[in-house]
Amino acid sequence: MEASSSDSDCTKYWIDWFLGAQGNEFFCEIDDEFLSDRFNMTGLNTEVVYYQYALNLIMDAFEYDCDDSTREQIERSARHLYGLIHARYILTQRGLQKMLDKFKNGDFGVCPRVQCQKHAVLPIGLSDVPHSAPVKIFCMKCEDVYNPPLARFATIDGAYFGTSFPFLLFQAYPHLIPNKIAPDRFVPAMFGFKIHEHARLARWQNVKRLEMTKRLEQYEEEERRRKRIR
Amino acid sequence: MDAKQGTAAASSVGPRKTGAGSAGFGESSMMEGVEHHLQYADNASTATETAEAAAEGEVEEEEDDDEEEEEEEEESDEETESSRSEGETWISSFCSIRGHEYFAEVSEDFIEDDFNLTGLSSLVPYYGEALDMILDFETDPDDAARLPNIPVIEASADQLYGLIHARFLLTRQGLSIMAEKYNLTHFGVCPRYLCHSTHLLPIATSDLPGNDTVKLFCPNCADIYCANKENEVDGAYFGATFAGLFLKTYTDIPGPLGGLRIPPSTLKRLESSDEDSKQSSSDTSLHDPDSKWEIYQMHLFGFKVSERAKSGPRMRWLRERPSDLSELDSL
Ligand SMILES: [Zn+2]
Ligand SMILES: [Zn+2]
Repeated sequence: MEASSSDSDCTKYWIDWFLGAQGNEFFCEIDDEFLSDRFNMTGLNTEVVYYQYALNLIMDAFEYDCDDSTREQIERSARHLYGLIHARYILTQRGLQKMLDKFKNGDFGVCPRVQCQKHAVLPIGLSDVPHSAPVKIFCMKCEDVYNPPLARFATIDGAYFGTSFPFLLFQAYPHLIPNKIAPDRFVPAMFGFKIHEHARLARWQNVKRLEMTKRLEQYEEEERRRKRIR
Repeated sequence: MDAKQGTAAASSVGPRKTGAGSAGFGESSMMEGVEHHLQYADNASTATETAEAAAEGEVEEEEDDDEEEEEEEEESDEETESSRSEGETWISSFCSIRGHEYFAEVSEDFIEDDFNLTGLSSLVPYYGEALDMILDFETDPDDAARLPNIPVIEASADQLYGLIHARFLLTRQGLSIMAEKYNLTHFGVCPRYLCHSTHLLPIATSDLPGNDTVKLFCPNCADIYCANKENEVDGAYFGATFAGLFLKTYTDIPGPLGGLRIPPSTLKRLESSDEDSKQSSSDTSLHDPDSKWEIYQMHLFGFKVSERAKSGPRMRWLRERPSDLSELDSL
């Protein structure tokens, strides 16, 4: 990704500026082909004010004389519109591929949980509706959602990434699903002895885990039988 | 997903009436410690302010560039031992260094009691000099000539302070200082979204120095998380026991089973050793009826991702809780 925060330079493209801005590290570059297909924008014109100007700005085709406050509004609209298009784009094959590259590059950070051993995370939204909640990070190793460690991500809308993206990615690239043969959960101790309440919970959770393993084996058995019948 | 706020976060704690009971070190000085703490409170509050200021600085700094970060680090290094303001003790300046926000100020009384230092002299090089430095005793000029340069002794003093600190945290006074720091969020909040900013506690995976860096324990999800890079000091300076003892002492912090209802029959069994208290707490008033345990549920285009899918959930057990405490007994 190119870092280019100086917008004084007229030759810079808007998307490059956007991707280089602080807090926008989770976004990938939407390609022109996707942006110029009207079908991909279905419904967005009612979601964004100055929709057409904003889209033109994103595509570096902005030629409209207006006062500063209108210009500012159009800028804001362009950022919002880019986010909304981004949520759709990363569910396409090309978009997934771009986010996969960023994932492999560690652009989204790592899981804060000690036992996940710095497993790479993915951005996720808690809602697909804009202005609901800021972006979170999802770890496929522990299958949980965390707040990003840096304060600047608290202003990025989670809807720009959506609730489905990580699961579509792992469905498309199943080889990326991490090994879940995790160690038992952490149990705090006092003077060398495990704390009773926590040890009981850990034992109960282990039973739940065994039950799941049995269910998974059963699914596999069912699958084998179905294949044999065919 | 529905985001219920705040049920899990314990924002404030107070000591349990019965006290800590079985702390390992410094038991002899624990009782005096309580009185001493009253005098000590003045010192502690200034230290708290400094630490808060440092914490604020940290947040701002996070948004700055890497280059600036390095600059600031250099600055704070200068501030360290060499140029500390008058009236500031070695201990208070150690605790106000950036990255030392988790440390409590150990009382000098505790350090001056030889019993509390048992066994440390063989673990730390230049033990005597390091101890003098911590307590702000001047080094004899005759000795100064044969001693290595100051940074070596400073490193020893840091290590010795850390190891004393781990023992101090297990005293009533240490726990009470840490409770104040816990309430002021000096250890940060749980990064897990569904823990809704539950305050964290420092914890070690080993009591031996050099084994592992300090980790953070969340009382709500009962899991451990990595500290900020700059706070990654030796875990042995906090110890494996502190967090557990803290939770046993301040029982109003809900544990991982805290939100569960206890069926009356179970309650009797739990308290069978304590006949008198049977009636006093035989209802579920201890437990917040609104607190609902939540687990993150994976969704693809609005549908739950099935366990049958290859990419389906495999780790739900890690976050699962029994709906009723009696489930734990039937194991
Ligand atoms: Zn994880
Ligand atoms: Zn937690």
